[in-house]
Amino acid sequence: MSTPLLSVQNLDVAFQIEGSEVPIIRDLSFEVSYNEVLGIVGESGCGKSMTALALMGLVPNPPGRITNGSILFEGRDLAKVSEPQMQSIRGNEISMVFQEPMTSLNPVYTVGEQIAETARAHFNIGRAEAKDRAVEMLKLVGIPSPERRFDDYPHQMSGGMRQRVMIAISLICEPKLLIADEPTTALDVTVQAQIFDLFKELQEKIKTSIILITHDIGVVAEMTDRVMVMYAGRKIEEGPVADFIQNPRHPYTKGLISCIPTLQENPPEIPVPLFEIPGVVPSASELSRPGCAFAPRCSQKMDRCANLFPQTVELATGRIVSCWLEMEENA
Amino acid sequence: MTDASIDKEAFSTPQKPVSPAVQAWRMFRKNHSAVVGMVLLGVVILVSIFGPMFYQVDPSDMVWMPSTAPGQSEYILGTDYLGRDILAGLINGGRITITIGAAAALLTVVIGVTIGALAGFYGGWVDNILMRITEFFQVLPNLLFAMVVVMLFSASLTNIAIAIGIVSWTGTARLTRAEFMRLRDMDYVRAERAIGAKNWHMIWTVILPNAAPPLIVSAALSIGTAILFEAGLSFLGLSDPNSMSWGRMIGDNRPYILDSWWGVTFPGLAIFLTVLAISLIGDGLNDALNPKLRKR
Repeated sequence: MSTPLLSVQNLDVAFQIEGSEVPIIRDLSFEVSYNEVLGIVGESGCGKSMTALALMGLVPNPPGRITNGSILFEGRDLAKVSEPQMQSIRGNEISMVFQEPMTSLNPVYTVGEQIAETARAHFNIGRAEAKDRAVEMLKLVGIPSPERRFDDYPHQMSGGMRQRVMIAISLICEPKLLIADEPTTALDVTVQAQIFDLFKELQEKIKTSIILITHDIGVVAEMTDRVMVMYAGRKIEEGPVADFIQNPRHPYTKGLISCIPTLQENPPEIPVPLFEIPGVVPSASELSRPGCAFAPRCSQKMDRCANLFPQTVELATGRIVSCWLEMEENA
Repeated sequence: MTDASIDKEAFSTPQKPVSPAVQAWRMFRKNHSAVVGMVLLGVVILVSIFGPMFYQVDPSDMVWMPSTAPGQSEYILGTDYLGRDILAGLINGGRITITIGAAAALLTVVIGVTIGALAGFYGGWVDNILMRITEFFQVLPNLLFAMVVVMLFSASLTNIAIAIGIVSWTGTARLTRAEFMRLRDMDYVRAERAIGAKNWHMIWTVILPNAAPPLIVSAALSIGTAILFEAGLSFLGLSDPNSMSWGRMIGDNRPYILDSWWGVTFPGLAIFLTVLAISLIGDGLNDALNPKLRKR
């Protein structure tokens, strides 16, 4: 196996809340290879977005900080580089698309200016060339009549168009890694599909690795090569996407997948209620408890789940699971 | 994209995109009193610039009998206690008054925005130190402090403008700081950071233009305040003895107000109208630039 583009090892992120340090991300390790799409799934508040911010060096500080671990990006440890160094990595090599296209563009500049400005900040090029590149990029992300749209202000565009512009901004420097943090949550379903098509197309064209953060398993199945499930700041399962969908191992993953409504040929008169995982994601202050964080909601809970966090088990198929059930079976 | 052809129909805008500046101007035009203010200020500025070319009377010369009432001689607004032409004083004084007002306002904005922006953007100890400095300036009595500065460094035009500037930047600093703290956590600021924007770029080209509307209004109003301040200083005798200003005319003629009302009334009216015009413009700018009043 070649060296991965990004290798996160034992990453811990903690927040200082009322004097005590509360862990938000614990012992997180994962890798992203060149030209790969990794999906990160989980409910709200499980640390997905914080992971993304940690990779970008944008964990709000104070109160947050990376307390342990390393983020190796092509050999450099992003957890340790200085802020000026990080600034030259951001945009150039790692870029990010946020959830909210409606508010992620600066309202006082035209979208073209914003794309061209980014190009100018990262390459040593003049105004005219930056404009050419920006127009080309607008065309690439599927905005019709890009020359005219160049002079539009963000408020003149729809959400889907704005997200395309955001993607154009984040890809104009051809970063090696693009982090997309729920890029379509704010968009309606048809636009969602278009945006994901665009991601796929661009990924093939620019050869960017993508980390796609989402809570939509359908999107994961469609888009990614590999999936990682997070719960309460930890990775609990990981594996190639097809195997993952077909054969979820962790009770939480099983729950997530059974939450998806299925098409039925002859639906019963009284529809079967959709499965849901009982309970809610534990709040940050509950995270410091020992044991498996999912235990209180788990249908297959055992005695030891409450006291000890299960070790990760690596299965033959490239699957990684953290659950006592798995350890039982392999023992 | 295969569906680009569908998009084209759905999303094409018929009208040309309108920049925020053009939008603001349209909004401004709707406020009639603001337009009146602008015309008034325009007249004052034009007269100040071109007036001395057409009305060539030296405002410091004794041209007629002292204390001649308006309409009693060829000098239509009369003469003051030294026989100086009041109209010439108004025309020439306008230049000085408006220049001092604008220069002081500029200084106010430069100091206030810089300090407020740095404090609001960086927060933490930077904010603490800068705000303590701001508070230090806030608790000093403005007029007294300005008088001390002018007296220490002689009453030249530059010193007067500087004195007014350094006593009046605190409000702008606080306003800028508040705007920066509000905008610092906006999504587009985060997004800009995520594509590698440097701090300096973030402060001046990302956040500042978004903070501009209230700052422009406050800058416009601070010209008016500075003009009043200059008048106040001149009234107390702290004016440049080599140049005529409206405040100085009032100050000079103050002892004779009971015998010759015209000596203080006309420059007083000039100050009043100019400051009123600026306030009206400021009000109009507020309407034009306030996003809550603007229709999208």
